[in-house]
Amino acid sequence: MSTIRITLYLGENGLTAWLIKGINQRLRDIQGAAELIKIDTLQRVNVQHQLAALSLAFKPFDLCQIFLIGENLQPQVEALKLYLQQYCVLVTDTYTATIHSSSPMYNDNFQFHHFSVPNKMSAKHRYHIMPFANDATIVDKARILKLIAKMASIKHYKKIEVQLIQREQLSSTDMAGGIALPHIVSEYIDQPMMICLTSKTAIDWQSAHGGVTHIVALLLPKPCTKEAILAVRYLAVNLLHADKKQFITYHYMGDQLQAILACFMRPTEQPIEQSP
Amino acid sequence: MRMVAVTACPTGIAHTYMAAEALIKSAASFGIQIQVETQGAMGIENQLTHQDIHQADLILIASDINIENAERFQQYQVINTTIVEVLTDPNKVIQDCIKQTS
Repeated sequence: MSTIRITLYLGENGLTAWLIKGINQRLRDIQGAAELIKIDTLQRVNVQHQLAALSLAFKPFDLCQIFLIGENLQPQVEALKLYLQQYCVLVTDTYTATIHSSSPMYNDNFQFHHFSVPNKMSAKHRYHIMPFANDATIVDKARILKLIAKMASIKHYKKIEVQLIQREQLSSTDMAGGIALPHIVSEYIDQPMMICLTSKTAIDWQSAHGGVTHIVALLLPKPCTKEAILAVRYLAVNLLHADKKQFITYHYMGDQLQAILACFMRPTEQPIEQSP
Repeated sequence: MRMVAVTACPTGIAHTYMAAEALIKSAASFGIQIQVETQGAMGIENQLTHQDIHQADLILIASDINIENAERFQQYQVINTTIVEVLTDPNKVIQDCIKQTS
């Protein structure tokens, strides 16, 4: 049994009846199940239930995901992706070593970076950029914070690192559910920045919650725009929801994480009540 | 029952608002009417007036820093807690508040 997640932005027509019909046609021989997920609210319906899918009230350019579980999914997935590419924007689901993107997140320019911790650490170790321990597989919180600081500003990284450490000393930024949210507002940061590090092996974030696999560092300049603070605020409040944290931790690819986190940085629309 | 609370954290961009949201949801589940003032990077929002404070049965300060305008609460019994405690178990915080005032 395997699972596949296709993350996509709807086109200018939103989720139309003909689009759902087209999706269903590509999935009719699937040996398993397919769900359509509206990411901002995490409402989910069986893709085959056309009316239920329409009731999610998708708007143009909304972010959604088709979650497939079953056997031998690949042929249907390829056909589905080819179909969807005509009307939607698919979010890449392959690993890219790093993503340096300054594409707008919310309505302020958050610079986004993503790294797989094992890859990044082994690269650092190989090139001796950072004085790591002999065993490059040992990753601890201090090294992650140093890495975040260096990514934020090579010029001021020591000061940023101190600020990150000082924040963590007040209380761990472990949000439970495998996510840590280290964050600072700093005079050494030029523009709002999100640095996302992922590791399939849990990293001890020195809290009672039992390790993190997704570290979402938020670094804001001082002074900071209201829009950037609001974006962080929406994301933080979304992280109160266990289902949203769990959803984030299903993803390890930079483009997908960027899309999902950006979606959670907007005000969440209240789900429309479904009649039983 | 009517409750007022203030939330504040050192950075003021995440935990202040998370704690406020957590308290609002938890208080609602206990049938408690709550008003939460946040002291974050966006300044003071939902500022509590002297009347709000005077009319409250419970006053909670959930903060990891010294809050602004703390003198408003001098004449009242205030329950102090940390942001971590609120985020870890907001229901327990509300229950403890109820116990302390009953």
